[in-house]
Amino acid sequence: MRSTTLSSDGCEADGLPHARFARNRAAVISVCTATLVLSYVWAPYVHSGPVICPLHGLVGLPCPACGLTRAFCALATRNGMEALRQNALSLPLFLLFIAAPLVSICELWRRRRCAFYSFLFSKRVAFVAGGVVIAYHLARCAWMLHTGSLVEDYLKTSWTYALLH
Amino acid sequence: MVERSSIPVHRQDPILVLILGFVTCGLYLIYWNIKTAEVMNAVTGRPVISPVVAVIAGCCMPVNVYFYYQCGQCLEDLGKLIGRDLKDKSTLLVVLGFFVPMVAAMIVQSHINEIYDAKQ
Repeated sequence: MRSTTLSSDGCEADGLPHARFARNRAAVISVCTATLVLSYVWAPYVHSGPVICPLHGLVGLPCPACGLTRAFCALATRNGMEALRQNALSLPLFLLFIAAPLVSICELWRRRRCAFYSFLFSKRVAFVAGGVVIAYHLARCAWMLHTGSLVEDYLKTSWTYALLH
Repeated sequence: MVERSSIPVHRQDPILVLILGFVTCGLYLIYWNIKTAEVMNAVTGRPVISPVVAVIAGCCMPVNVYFYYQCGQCLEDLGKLIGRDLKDKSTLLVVLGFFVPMVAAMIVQSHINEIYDAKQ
């Protein structure tokens, strides 16, 4: 495994101070762990929760992240099919949320950045990933429009709709 | 020392970021995140924000919060580049990024615009 080493003054070779290096890893560990724990704890109440997406609330349309809370809760309770139904992007994201803290702990232990995920810094990979997300979201919206859930589950549950009716 | 001329151009009216974010159902913010990550990495002179993480930030709330935390940390370097004393705004951006990500995006965009304003 290739890695970026820390110099003798405790700084990474790319110039990032060690305090910030450690703080960033701590942030990753906290955010990911909190998300996974909350997904499990919130699972029994997720279907009765309020609308928290500003786009869903104001415009009545889903954003690419809509359904992820329900999907993460479903995955936390080992219901993969429900997660796929809510938002298929949840599967790779859930794996990322499991892997990221483990990698961060490893990096804190070794006091150096692992280089195996350097592909994450590629602009080309980013645009491909962005294209996949956009294509999936458009296909999802088209499917929701076809089945009528776009109107029933999003438009009619928006804050604006509730205000006007 | 990072040269201003080496910073990729990502100039946009902050209001337009808000409007496009809503009009495109948040899809514009995925593109905006990639460009912002590119600018922040150029400003700091090292790979700080992964563009792939920036894409994920466009469609996943906790990652979105992490993205704005990273952007807030980069503002100090951005301030040095434009000769202004910009404080670390991570906390403000994390809070705004959690509740109203488009407003956090507007703040970051207004600071990015300062790079090109200072060039003139």
